[in-house]
Amino acid sequence: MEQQIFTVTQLNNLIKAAFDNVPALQNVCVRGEISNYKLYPSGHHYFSLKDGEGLLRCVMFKGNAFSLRFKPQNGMSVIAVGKVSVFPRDGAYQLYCSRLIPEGAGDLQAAFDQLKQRLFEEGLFDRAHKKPLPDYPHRIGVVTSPAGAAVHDMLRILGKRYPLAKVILLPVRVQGETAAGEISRAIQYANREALCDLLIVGRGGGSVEDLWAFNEEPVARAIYASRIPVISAVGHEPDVTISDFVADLRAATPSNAAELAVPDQTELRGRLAAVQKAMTAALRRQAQLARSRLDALRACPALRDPHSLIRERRQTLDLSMNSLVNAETNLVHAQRNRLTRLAASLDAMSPLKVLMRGYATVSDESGQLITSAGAAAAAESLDVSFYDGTVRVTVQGGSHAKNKIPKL
Amino acid sequence: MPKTKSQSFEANMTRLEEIVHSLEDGSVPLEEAMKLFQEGTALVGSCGKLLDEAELQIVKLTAGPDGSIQEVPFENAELN
Repeated sequence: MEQQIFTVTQLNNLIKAAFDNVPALQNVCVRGEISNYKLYPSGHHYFSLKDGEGLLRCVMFKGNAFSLRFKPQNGMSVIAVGKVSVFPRDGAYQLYCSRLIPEGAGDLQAAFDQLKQRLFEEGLFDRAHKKPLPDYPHRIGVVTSPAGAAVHDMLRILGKRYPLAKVILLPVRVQGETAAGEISRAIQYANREALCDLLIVGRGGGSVEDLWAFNEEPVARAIYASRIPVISAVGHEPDVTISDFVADLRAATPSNAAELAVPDQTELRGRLAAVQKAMTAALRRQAQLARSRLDALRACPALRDPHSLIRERRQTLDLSMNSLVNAETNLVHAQRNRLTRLAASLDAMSPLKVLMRGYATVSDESGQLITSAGAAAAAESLDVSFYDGTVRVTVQGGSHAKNKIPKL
Repeated sequence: MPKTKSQSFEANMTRLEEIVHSLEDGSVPLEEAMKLFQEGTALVGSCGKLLDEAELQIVKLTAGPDGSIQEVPFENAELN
């Protein structure tokens, strides 16, 4: 008997027919925790249901999703109702979900909530404990998986924005049993060795389970204890982990962490250009100030017309000279007046005047003035001087009678 | 630890901020202002040059055979 050879499609269709013939699979209720939840733009919801051991792929088409009264989220425990069938294109069976009923929070969610509450009460999320990030990180420690898109994106963005930094990659496993220990030890190592001045701790997107290491207490405590500022960069925008709460800064994604970590060189170049502009403007302003001071100095008379100083002084000198001359003239005048007065007095007392009034002087031949009759009697001849001339007279006796000569 | 380019850059930026502050303050004499301007222009130039010439340095830490941790170059090829 010859073995039948199927095409893949034929076989998948055969399997699908087998599933569709099992009445128990046509209307099932299944309890599980939502993970890998994704809402497509088409309006279809894709997710997995899981418990401790197994996983079931599910889809809820747009038409059924209208009946949802809540927003499905990863970690949420639900009861899904629908039929199980095969999707031939992928060769995979899945639950075509018609209803989704929430069933309290899942285990992981409960653990998350409990740890979050406990660490919050302990103060691990306090704003006051948050450290500022360096403006210009010199060494950036990146605690993540060395494989995968996340590290690639971070390095690309860091290199593009701020190639001056040095990146030190601390390779760790970011999921699985050992992940939390590796991540926390890497953070502690970076601190012990003062390896860097900024730490980025994170990983790319994944299911709640994949991201779970960042919800574990050792990682939270290592981040809290880090003296080096930590940016938490876990998963995609909607994913929130305990690490995000403890870290000094929460980035939405690893790429976002790289953007938040360093300044952008485009912006820096802009700032440099602005600095150059500001310096030029300031210097120009100062030069203008100096120029206007210089102009003001130039405008002052001493510099504008230095001759004026001489002219002024000459004028002063002329005035002084004038005063001096005046003073001298006055002085001479006064002296002359005095002289005139004295001369007048002198004139009044002149012997000539006396002689003109009829007096004469008598002297002997030698010119000796004779003032007494005795002396005159002893002489032979006398010279009698009148105001207009002298005559010689001969003495002929005399008396000693004393005649009172009237006073002048 | 050798001085990184980022440290030089930061130091230059800090000095530039001081210079701009002094110049805008207008309290320095013109002659000194011109010296500051020259220094600032040189710093702007060297900052730009640092950016132009920089290439992100990437190293990876690995445990050596004796268990000690070493820095090894991280090749971009590893990413792909």
